[in-house]
Amino acid sequence: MADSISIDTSEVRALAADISRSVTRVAPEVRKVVLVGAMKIKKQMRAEMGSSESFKGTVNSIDFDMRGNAFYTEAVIGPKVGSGEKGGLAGIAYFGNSRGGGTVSDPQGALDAETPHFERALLDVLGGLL
Amino acid sequence: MKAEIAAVKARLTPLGRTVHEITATGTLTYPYFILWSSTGNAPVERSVRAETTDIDDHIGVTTVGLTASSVRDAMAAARGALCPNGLPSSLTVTGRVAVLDFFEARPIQADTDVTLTAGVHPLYGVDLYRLVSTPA
Repeated sequence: MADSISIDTSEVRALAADISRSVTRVAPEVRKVVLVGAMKIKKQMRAEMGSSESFKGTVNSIDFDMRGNAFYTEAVIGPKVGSGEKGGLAGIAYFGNSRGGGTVSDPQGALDAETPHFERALLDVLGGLL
Repeated sequence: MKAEIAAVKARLTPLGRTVHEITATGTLTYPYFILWSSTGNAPVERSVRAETTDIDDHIGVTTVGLTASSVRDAMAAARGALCPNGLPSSLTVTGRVAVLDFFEARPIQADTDVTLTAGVHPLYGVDLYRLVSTPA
């Protein structure tokens, strides 16, 4: 009768190592998916802002920045504000002021419209891992 | 969407502040509310059985006052009336199931485009609510 218990974890360690390599491999593909999604959201936001007579001058301020590293990727999308930028009026376009409500569609709509496509593309990439 | 907006307005009116729709005009008494929305967007993803009259959209409630404190107080009152205890609430809309849920609060800020007497700018804050309305 054995007086000790041993557990063979070599396969688990091999799987962990494999997943680690997969994360590194998949990161560029995920970045592409995020980039495409960000471009589509930006396009819709620009179209919506451009349809406003009052705020179409801020259209070109709507852009996005990609951030991330080997482990995460994000896109920050919206009107750029600050020195030399014309996105400062976008807040009034989306949310109004003391005399009236917003007149341009909330960017949440563009995000919501893209979300199912983004999720599908991301699942396709992750499916390639299996 | 018209009936849903009317239901939201009916919740705000008892608070004793003027509830304007889309724009605030005429003689303004502070604080006041501006209720605004689109004509009602459909859900992004619909099931094959979804009615074409389904609505999934945002409603904005702008609260305008002369002090930050009055804006905060009025916004809190509005939120309490629309979503009591911070929970989603059902609106009374004939023939439909309409649920309103708090979505997002925008920072209170001064409207520097408007100057009142004594050089004071009105302050305003915006609360966004999500409305989901489907046939009953």
